[in-house]
Order: sequence, then structure tokens, then C-alpha cells
Amino acid sequence: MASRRTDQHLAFALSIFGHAAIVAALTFSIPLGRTRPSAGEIVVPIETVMINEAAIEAEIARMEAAEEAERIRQAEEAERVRQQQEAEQRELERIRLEREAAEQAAELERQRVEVEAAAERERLLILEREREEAQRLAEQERLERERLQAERIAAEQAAEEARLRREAEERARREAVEAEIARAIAAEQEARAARDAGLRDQWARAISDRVALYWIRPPNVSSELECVLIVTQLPNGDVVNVTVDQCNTNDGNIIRSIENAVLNASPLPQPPRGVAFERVVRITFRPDD
Amino acid sequence: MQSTWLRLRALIVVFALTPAAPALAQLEVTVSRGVERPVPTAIVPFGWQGNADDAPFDVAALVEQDLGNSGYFDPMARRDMVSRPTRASDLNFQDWRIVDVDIVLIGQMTQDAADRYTISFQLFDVTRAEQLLGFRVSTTSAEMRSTSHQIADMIYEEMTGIPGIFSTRIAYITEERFSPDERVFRLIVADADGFNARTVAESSQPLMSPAFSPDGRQIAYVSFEEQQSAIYVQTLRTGSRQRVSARVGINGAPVFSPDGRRLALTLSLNDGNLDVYTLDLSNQVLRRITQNSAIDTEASWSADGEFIYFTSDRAGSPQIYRVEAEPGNRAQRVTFEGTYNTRVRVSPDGGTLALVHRNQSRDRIALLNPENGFLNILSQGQLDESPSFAPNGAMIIYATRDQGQGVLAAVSTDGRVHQRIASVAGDVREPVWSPYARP
Repeated sequence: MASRRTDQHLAFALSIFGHAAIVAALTFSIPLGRTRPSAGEIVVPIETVMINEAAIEAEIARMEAAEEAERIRQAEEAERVRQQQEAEQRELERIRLEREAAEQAAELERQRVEVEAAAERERLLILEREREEAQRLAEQERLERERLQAERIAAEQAAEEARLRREAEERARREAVEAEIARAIAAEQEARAARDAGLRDQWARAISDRVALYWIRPPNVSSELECVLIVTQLPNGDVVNVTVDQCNTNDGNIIRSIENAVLNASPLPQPPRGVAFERVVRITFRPDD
Repeated sequence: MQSTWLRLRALIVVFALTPAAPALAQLEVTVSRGVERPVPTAIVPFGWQGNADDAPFDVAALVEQDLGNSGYFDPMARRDMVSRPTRASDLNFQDWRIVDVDIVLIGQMTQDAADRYTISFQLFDVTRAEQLLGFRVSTTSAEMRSTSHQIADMIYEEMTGIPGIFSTRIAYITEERFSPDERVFRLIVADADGFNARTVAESSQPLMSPAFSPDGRQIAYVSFEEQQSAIYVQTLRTGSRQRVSARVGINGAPVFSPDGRRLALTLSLNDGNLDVYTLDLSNQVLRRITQNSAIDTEASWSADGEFIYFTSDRAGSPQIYRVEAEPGNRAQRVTFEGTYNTRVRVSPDGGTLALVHRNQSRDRIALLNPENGFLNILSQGQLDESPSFAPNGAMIIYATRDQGQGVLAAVSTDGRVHQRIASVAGDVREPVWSPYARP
């Protein structure tokens, strides 16, 4: 993405630069083309030609006046002058032609220049248009880019928002699930606690049932009897110690009978699975009749 | 400073009052019932050291019989014993644990002189591997039975917390009929197991209603030997007797008051109307307790001597009533269940009444709790009569009929144990159980 964006920037810069170079080249080549002379052309100013004819006629007059002898020579000279004049005429004609040609060429040149200028103008116009177009395109491109950027940003924002929303939703969902799990765990723990309590009660009942089987109840036990034994057992249920915690009778045979009930009930029932073993158990003998 | 200390102290109090966390609470087990089964017991035959090959008496066998009859012990058969120790050093508790015996009695008899023996015995708790009893008794061949009963009594009391009754006695009336005109009535006193029966009084005329004095030394009874009824009080040891009532009409149903000073008895006197009286034995003062045109008879003292229970048909059928043991008091009816309740006896602790309860034409021995009116039928015969509590309240002796003959039976007050008492010849009736005291 980023590299593409850089490429776009680079392309745009190159395009600008290219167009600018073309425009510059066109602009600066025009004066160069105008000052450069055409190959083989002699430029003679017309004023300079007129000044030279007056000088020549003055010279001729001076020579006629000064020397007859000179006449032949002059004749010759005249001939030669005539020839020269003819030559000069020809020369003049040629110059006139040349001038005309030059003028024509100049005109042509002017026309050419004009055409060229027009072409140049046209070109410039085109260039300008192109530049404008390029600018427009660049602008468009920029706008497009900006639009794209905006779109991208918007998309990114939307994506971000969507992401955040998704994350929020996900978080909410996770939290809901976690809450549900926590609730389930709490319920499970509660159930387990209840079950454990129930299991503990079961264990206590199992011990009670077993001890009751071994309690040969002496005939002198009253219904008010209440004796508490502290019973110490090993994990395998073997009773290792029995002591009387409190007892409302002093009758030795009764106390012995309940102690022996526990001793003879050894090993005591094991705790149900999931109930922690308890080494010390309080056993209360309390006849329910 | 002071307030800080007070706060601290309050905190200490709070901590002291804070109960232990529930998680740390000990496992609480409540045992609300037990089994009412006999204690598994091993009475090992006693060792013998003397001139003869065998001991003159099998003490262990009689102890075993006594304890077995009580219903509270379950003696192991001798053939099942894996070992027969006679001394503590030979006793291996494990031998008895594996056969689930709870207590073991071992002992020896040694002959000290021609008719002089020493019996030593030890009772052991197998579970705890400890001795419960250990005694040495001197005896003679004639006293072997009573010595054995005493040993059984000690074991019984040690295990039940209740005094044994094996050394107590019973009294009863027998009638021997040789021909329709020739009959012999005897008042017999015997050991509680029926042995050592001896005749206390004998007559060709009816003898009735024997009653022990509270010290067990005297016995009151009704005799018709002079053709009409009279009440005698006889000292058992000497055989001397005193006629305490020979009033006109009927003289019947004597019973000693708990303090032994008075008799309650039934008299008809001149008008022929039977009522309950008391007779002061020291001064012969007679007091009329009931005054009713109906028959009032068969008195029995409450344990504290304050009341007299008796049978009366004042409501049409015989029922039990109770009245203060002083003249001029109004009797209260005690029994309401059934149409026939007679011959009441009050338990030694005063809490229950034994009586004859007729139900569907069968007379049976029943226990009544006067507090709640609960009646518990104990015996299973057709014509059971004359219930009498053993002094420990655990057994009731009564007479029942077997093949036309009166025989003696006993039932435990919890109804678990029924037994026949070894009988003597003749028709037996009106048994009474002696107190603990010996003559």
C-alpha cells in the first residue's frame, strides 16, 4: 500500500517535471532560432550601397577633368566603367534580386517565424492546455487520491470502528461467556458444596449406622443419656483412640459400652469420594427414645 | 491509653467469642440407637486344683446358665472355644476377638481343705483387653451354687449397671392332690432359678398369697388351716410365725409396706364387704383404706409407701385403682384398657405396674405405664396370673398353666426374654420374688 502510494507520488512528480521540461525547452529555443543566420547568406545594408554610388560618380568626374590622355584610358576606362557599370547594373540587379530574394526570404522567414510563433503559440497553448489538463488531471488525481485517501481513511475508520465494534462485541460476548462460566462454576461450586455437605452427612450417617450396630445398649441406659466421644481414626478407618468429651452419666458400664461400640465398629466407614478424610470425629450417643 | 486497652480487650473478647470456622468443624456423628442383643460372652470352664480328679462343682456352668437366662448375655458354647485359659497369663485376647466375644470369664477353683475351696475369677473386656472384675471367694461344696450365683450377679451388675437377681429367691404355693379329699398345700421358698426349694409351711388346707417382707427375712401368707382364713407372718430363718389377722370373714392378700412396718390386707369383717385395710404390725392398729360396697382387694404399695393400688369392681368389672394409704381418701381409677385388670404389683422403681390383663378370654401379664396409660402385654399364656417383680425390676415372675398344671415362668420387663423356672412336683401358683436382702 505504502509503496504504491510512493510510486504514485513519484509518477506524478515525474509527469510534472516532464511537462515543465517540455515547456521550458520550447520557450528558450525560440530566441535561439531567431538570431541564428542562415547558412551562406550575405547581408548588405541598402544605405551602405547608396553611399558607394555617389563616391564612384565623383571619382569619374575628377578623372575626365584632369587628363585627356586619359581619355582613351578614359574611353577604356569608360568602357570599363560601362562594363563595370553594367557589371554594377547586373550587380545591382543581382543585389536587387538578392534583396528581393532576401526580402522574400525575410518575408518567408517572417512568415515562417510567424507560423512558427503561431505554431509555438499553438504549442504553448496546447502545452498550457496540456499543463492545465495535467494540472487538472493532477488535481483530479489528487482529488481522486484524496477521495481514495478519504475513502481509505473512511474505510479504515469504518474498519477500525468495525474492528472496535467487533472487539467490543467479542469482549461483550467473551464477558458474557465468562460470566456464564463464572455463574456455572459458582453454581457448580455451590452444588458441589451442597453435595459435599450431603456427602459429609452421608459419611456421618454411615459411621452412625455402623457404630449403632455395635452398640449393645445396656438396660440401664436412660433416654436422657448424652455422651460425646472424641474418636481418632487412621485414614483406613482404624480407630486408634476414643476419649469421653462429656457425658451425663457416671455409669461405667454405659461409658464402656459406647466406647466399645466405637472400638468394635473399627474400621469406621471411609468417607465418600470427594469428602476429605477427617482424623477426629465427634460421636454423640443420644438415644432417641 | 485506657480506651485503647478497652478496645483491645473488646477485640480479645470478640475473638474469644468467634466460633471456629465451619470448614474446621469436626465431623459430627450422632448415634441415636443401639442393638438390644445379648453380650457375646465366653465363660471358660474353671481350672481345678484339688484332691479329686474333677472339681466338686462346675461353677462356670452355673454362671453361664444364670447369665444366659437373664437374656443379657449370649454365652458361647464350650465346644466352640478355641482355647480354655484359666489364668490371665494364658489369655490371648485375639483368640476371642476373632470369634467376636466381648467379655471372657476365666477362673480356677483350688481345694484348701476337705470342704474348703477358693474360687478366683477374672472378667475381661476383650475389646479393651482389660480386666473388669477380679475376685477370690472362699466357699464350701454346699455353697457352690450360691457362690456361683454371686459371681453371676457381679458380672451382671458390672455389665448392665443393674444389680443381679441370681442370688435372690422366690416363694410360691404348690398344691399336691393325692385324692379329691387329700391335698397338701405348701409354701415353698427357693433360689431364683428354682433350685434349693424348701418348704416353709405346709397344710392340708389352702395356703395363699405369700409376700416377702422388705428385708427378705419374713414372709406373710394366708392359711386356711383353721378352716377359715388367717394371715401369718413367718420368719424364714427360724420358722417362727405370728398370726397377725384372723378376723371374722375373709382375711386375705397381705403385702408389706415398703418400710416393713405395715401390712395392707383385704378384710370382709362382719358385713362381708371386701375392703382394703392397713395393719400396723407393731401395735395391731387397723385402718380402713377403702370404703366401697364393691369388692376392693389385692393391694400393692407404691414404691414410696404413699399410695395403695388395688383391684375393685366398683365400676362393674375389675379394674385397678389407686388411693392414698390413709383412711378417708378417694380412689382414682388407673386402668381403662380392657374389661378385666387385676392383681397389680408396683415395680421397684415405682414407674410401672404389672397386672393381669384379660383380653379375648386370655389372662396375660401386662405392664402398664400409669403416666401415659400405655399397656404392654408381656406373657403369652391363657391363664397367666400373679405377676411379681424381681427386685431389680428387670424380670417378672408369674404362674402359667401347662397341661393343666400351674408352672412358673419369668419374662423380662422389656419382653425379650421368656423362661420357665425349674419346677417342682405339683400344681404351682402365686409366685413372688424376694427382695435383694438375704435372710
